[in-house]
Amino acid sequence: MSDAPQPLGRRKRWRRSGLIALAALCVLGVLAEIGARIVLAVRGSAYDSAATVASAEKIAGSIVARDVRGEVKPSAMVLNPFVGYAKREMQDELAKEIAYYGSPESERNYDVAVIGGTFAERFGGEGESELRATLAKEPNFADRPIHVWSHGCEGYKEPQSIQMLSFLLAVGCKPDAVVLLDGTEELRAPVSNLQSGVFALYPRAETWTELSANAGTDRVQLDALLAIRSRQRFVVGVEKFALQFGVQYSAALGTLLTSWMERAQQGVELRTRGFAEERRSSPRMRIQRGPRVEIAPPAIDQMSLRAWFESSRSMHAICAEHGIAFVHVLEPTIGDSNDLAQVPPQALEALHRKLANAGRALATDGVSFFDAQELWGASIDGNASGSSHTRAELVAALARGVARRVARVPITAPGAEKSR
Amino acid sequence: MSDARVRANTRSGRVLFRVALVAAALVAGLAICEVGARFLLAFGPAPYDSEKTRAAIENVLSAMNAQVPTWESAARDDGGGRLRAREVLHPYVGFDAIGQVQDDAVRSTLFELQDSTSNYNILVLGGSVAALFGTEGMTRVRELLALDPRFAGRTIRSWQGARGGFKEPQQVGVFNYLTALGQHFDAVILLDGFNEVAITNQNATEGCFPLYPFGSKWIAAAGDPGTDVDALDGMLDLREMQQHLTRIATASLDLGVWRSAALGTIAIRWLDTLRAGTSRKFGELRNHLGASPATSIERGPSFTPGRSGALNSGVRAWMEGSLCIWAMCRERGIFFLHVLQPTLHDKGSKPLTQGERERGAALDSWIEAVRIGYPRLRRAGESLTERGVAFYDATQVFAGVNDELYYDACHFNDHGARILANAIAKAFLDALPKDGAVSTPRDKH
Repeated sequence: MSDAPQPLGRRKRWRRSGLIALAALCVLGVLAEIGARIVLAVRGSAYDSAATVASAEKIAGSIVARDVRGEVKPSAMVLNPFVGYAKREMQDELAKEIAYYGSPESERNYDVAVIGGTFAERFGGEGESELRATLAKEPNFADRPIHVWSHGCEGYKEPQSIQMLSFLLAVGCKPDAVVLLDGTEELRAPVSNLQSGVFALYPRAETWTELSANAGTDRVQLDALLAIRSRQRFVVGVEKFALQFGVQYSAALGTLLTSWMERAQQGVELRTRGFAEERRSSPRMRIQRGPRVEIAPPAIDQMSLRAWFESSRSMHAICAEHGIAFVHVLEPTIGDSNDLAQVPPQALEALHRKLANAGRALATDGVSFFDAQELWGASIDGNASGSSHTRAELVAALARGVARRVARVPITAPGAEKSR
Repeated sequence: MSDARVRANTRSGRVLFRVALVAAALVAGLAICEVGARFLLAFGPAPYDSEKTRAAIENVLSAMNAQVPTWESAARDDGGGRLRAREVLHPYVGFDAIGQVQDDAVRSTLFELQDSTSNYNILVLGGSVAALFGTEGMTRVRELLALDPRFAGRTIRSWQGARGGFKEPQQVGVFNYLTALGQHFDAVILLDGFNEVAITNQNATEGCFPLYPFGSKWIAAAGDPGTDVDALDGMLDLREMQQHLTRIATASLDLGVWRSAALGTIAIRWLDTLRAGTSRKFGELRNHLGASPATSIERGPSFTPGRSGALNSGVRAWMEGSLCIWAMCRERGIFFLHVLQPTLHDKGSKPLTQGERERGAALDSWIEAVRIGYPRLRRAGESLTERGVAFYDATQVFAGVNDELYYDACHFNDHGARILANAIAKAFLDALPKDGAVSTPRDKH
């Protein structure tokens, strides 16, 4: 006899071993399944395949829908290329305003643009009717409907206001008068900018840093974003495959799937947070906060005051060239309309004095400048809530003061803009 | 030897023989294919060139990996000097080079230190042509100005305020910002015009507010890629396609496939097909990014689409920019000269050489913008002159020059810069007050 039957015996043994292993695996699987169901039942939550599907889909949905950059609250402000940031609704309003200035209606109307920061924004709304009413009484405008356009925006300071004017003119707005209402932000914001690592003449740090934090990205960051996205897609891919394969019908595998997905979700969140952190500290972000120049606080005041002064001169010159009446109003540091509650009165007084002195120099240069505090300052000692004047009275007084000055500005080329 | 072993040996010998036969047939088949391919190609447009094939595969390899649409601006950080040129978000001009952001502030310190009466400081504003002119052309302008007795005893210095891709109202923004920083110039030269029509029209064509800065650069600086998961998915898909293509191209090079006319031709065809697919995907992605809701805010206010309206707004912004800068200069006793730059596609502005025609290819939106917009800019320039602005129309300075000057649709070489510099220096001196008093602005503050 040859040894020919030997291979056949070995093959049989292999086959038998394979079958035993397979049977053991099946038994183990069944035992694991039964064990898992018992454990889950004992824990008080019997296995439910529908719940597993719902849970897996929920996690997958949250991963897919997740904003890759992480949790970001929608801001009321948006980035703007010329003024740093602007109100979200400004885009729509500007489109309407551009259309208006192209219409015959604008030729007839007397248009006043109010520009400046927080105070100007509020005045643009609250003082509008009084401003219109007073202007309407002026003989020059008696036959013209008055329209007030509010372009004040929370936190604006120079050079944002002059930038706003330049932008409005570039897009075709043709106001007859420009009222610049500013002051307190000019000296307060640069100091807080410095504390936040933002250049003094850049927009208010609080808003600028928030908006620019998620702006743009470089190759390294893009790769990191793609890696996060890739991980998200992998997790969702596994979930889809597993559910198609029927994993949800097994308590053991279904539980494994959902717990793996929960861990994966946490991993994705961790990566997303890491990405946001890395982005905040990236060289790009540092330079977006502006140039790095060593400036001591007194020099910051000087720099900010100069920016305010020079921008006012520029606005005056631009308006004169366009036949636009320009009035620069130093906003009052009294009253409750200026978020000044936390600023010590001495600091406010010093701040106001510096601006008022520079304003007198502007007036000498021909700028129609006035200190709004003088309108009622003599009769009020501090906050409006402690005075005999109501807020509405203060705003109305300011509106009347502004209107009178607007009417008095000499225009060398009246209506030049609108006839062009 | 047993019968079984003999049978087995005979069987294995037959198998070996068959394998050898198949291999030989395969080799012969390949050889025939190779000869046939070379024969066919020899009768085609050009015989097979293995080096060309290798170069083509390498080209696919390099081009493929560069073709990734991102929000990233063109200049990338290579860890060296180009970091300064990398563009970042800027609050008053949309975007700016990192180096310029820093230089602008540092320069203010120099202005504080220097004696403004001894130096005559000229600021150059505009787009890339002005930026290049600011370094090459301004040397010549300074030389020519220095010969004029009105500049006796003054050191003439020129300062860079121009940036690639800038258009109004960005130049006004630069001047507003520098003025707010306390920089006092004696003169401002504004050299612009091309971007105001070309980029304005391109912006409008691509759905970005025409008067916003150069759309692709602005959105690159301000856009937030994390909000657009569809775009990220598209990028991942594109990247996978590119990597697949890269693997095939690399294997083709490593295996020396390019040496064979048959295999090289097949490889090139295959790569071309894959490349067409990735290019299609690239185009889809670009379109998606262009219309992405994630960039809707960055694309600016809504506007009425249309070429004429966009160009009119570009011309108006150009004129407004000039008037604003002029008004600010006049207020401070600064001399202002506005120059309308020459450009290749402005018909009749230069006899073009063959090389200029070849290299002057540009986007249709740019060519169209120059054709329609330049006559409007010239008319607006006349209005500026009527209002008292020192305006110089330099669009015809190359009209009689047959030499090769342009190296693309709007930029010119040193020779061109010298010709323009001579013309600008003359215009500058002609418009400067004749009484000999070169103004010296003083810090009134």
